[in-house]
Amino acid sequence: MASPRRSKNSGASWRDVTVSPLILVQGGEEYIHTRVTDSVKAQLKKAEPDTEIHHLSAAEYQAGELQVLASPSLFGEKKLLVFDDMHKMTDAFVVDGLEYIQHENPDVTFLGLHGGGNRGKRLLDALKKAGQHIEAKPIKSDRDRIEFLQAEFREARRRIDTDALRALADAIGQNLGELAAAAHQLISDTQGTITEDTVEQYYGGRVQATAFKVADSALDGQLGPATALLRHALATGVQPVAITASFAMKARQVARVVDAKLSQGQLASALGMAPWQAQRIMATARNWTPVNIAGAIELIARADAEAKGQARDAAFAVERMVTKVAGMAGRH
Amino acid sequence: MANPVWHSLAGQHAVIQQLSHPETMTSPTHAWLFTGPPGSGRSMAARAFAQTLQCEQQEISQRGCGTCQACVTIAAGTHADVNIVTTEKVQYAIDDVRELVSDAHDRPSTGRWRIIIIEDADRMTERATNVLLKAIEEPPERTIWMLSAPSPADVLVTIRSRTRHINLVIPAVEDVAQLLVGRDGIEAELAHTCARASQSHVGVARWLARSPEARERRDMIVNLPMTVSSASAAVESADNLHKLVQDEAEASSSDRNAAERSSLLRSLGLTEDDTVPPKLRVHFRRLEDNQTARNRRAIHDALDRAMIDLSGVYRDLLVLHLSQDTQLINEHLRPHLTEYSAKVSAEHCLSSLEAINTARRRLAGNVPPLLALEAMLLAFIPRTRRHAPL
Repeated sequence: MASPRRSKNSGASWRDVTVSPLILVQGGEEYIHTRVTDSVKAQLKKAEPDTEIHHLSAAEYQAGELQVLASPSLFGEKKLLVFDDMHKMTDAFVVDGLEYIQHENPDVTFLGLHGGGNRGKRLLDALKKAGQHIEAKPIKSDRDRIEFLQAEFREARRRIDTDALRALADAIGQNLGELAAAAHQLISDTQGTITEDTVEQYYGGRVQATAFKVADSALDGQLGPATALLRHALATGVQPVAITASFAMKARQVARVVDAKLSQGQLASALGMAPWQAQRIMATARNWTPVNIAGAIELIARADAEAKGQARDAAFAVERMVTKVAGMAGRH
Repeated sequence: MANPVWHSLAGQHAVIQQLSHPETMTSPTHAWLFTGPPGSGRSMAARAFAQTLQCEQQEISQRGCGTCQACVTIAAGTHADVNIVTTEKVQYAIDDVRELVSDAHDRPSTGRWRIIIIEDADRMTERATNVLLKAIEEPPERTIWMLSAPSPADVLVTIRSRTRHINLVIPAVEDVAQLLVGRDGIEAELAHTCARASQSHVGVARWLARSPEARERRDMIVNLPMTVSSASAAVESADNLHKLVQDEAEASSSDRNAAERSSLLRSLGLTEDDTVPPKLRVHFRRLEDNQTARNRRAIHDALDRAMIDLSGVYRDLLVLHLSQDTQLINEHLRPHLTEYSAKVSAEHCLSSLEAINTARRRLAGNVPPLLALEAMLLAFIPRTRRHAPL
């Protein structure tokens, strides 16, 4: 990646995709698929406003379609063929695709979107060799997300502080589309360098809260944080039933160890979990007596039934459960 | 003495007398509702009644012979004019019910009547039941509807008022045992134990009597209250019970599911090794959906059975607290139960019964079975022992 001139077939960054007859985007991050498609479309439209665009699914491809669409037209208009779902491509698509690579039409841009995996390997290899290959691996680590945000701001020629980047990544969470939307909002709504204060102003107080985090802090007896996390989780779209489910799982594990006379190694194998997980559960179980955990499981079962329709307000039922369970922890 | 078709109906003398009355046989009411507790023989009664109505014997008093073509085909569920409708899912689909309404307008082809028997009418949603209303109120001249449900309250009031109601009683243990001995050739003592253990549910009694594994499973379940003594044991038992129920449902359905799949493959012209083309996948998805729904019902029923057995145990414990000479449901466990009843209070038995009821309500409300069972089993731990040191 260091050389300024990238060879044609390297896994280029999706940000500098250029129009060429054959483009393959491979990887599970759908947001990148969308961005590449948009960028190719925009470039083509800019050069030739009359470009014909065809969106097809490779999963429902029928033999011959590609050749029909890609055949030269009378007036030589430019064409863009976007093939979705290449990870579910039909066999006919492989055959026709390989055929097409041999006789590509310079007026046509072939854009294939492959969601990852190895389906149609022969065609993928041929495309990688003959055209542009763009990786769209799902972004998982925090570092990658921050890099992604950084690139978004750089593209818009805006400066952002490192602290502000981190704060933004923490507040928005995993979804790449949401990260991009947040970045674009900051870009269009603010001026000058974006600082941590700006992020705080727009996204202050937002925390990534999963159902498991709520359960962990409640069973550890942290009433305040548990309630705050619960409110965040509910506000960001976590379903009440997901919360009761993760409570049930965690409470089950605690009940398994609370009065069992087993060593840590035996416990780990009895519970079917890694030693460090067993250790974590043992630490949580120290907050609990058998009577209390029995009461907690009863509360969880009740809240689960209520969240599934036996009460009018699922959020209230779950919040009552969280406060009661957190209150019971540590009371011997 | 009643005619042969009535013989497998244990302890329902009044009902048999009413249904085999000559007047009923010559001009029957157009819609009937059979009610009674599960296992009392609601669907058996409806079938037997259909047999007496369609029987080929000339003499009215002889009808229900059990040997003529009509009687035999109805027993096998293949008679052309008798539709027996049942569901293996949790609920009837509305489209199935619509189909029935059009069937009801066909004239009988060989028999005297067209008879439509709907088993478990309580599994019909209100919307589905409404489809039936008009058809049941004024059926064509020779059509007879027979619905069965646990109690009249389980069907819509508008259906109830359009039908003649036949109520089956809980048969006496003695009657059920006699039926098992006479019909299935079960040994007398075993037949008594099973009849009592099943609380006079004829089908379950027969199943228990015939399958030693089923008896073993039941014993494991009824012993739960006496073995669960700590929180960790309760959670572990809940897990075991849940697995047991799942395995049971799985075992009973896996062969059948595979057979259904291969028959579908064959009818679509594919062999086992072919990959299913995308265009045909929808058929397989539909089959799998059906199988999943059936499996859910099987798990649901097995859990329900377990809950009934457990409430039987606490009923017995209460009986032992209140009097010594009443028969127990689990008579074969009397020594164990007597010993255990000394350790727990009557209040604890009542609160455990309440816990069982709550668990059943929760299961109906779609709470994960494992969670509902855990909460229930934790409530079984006697108060004094719950305070055991860590």
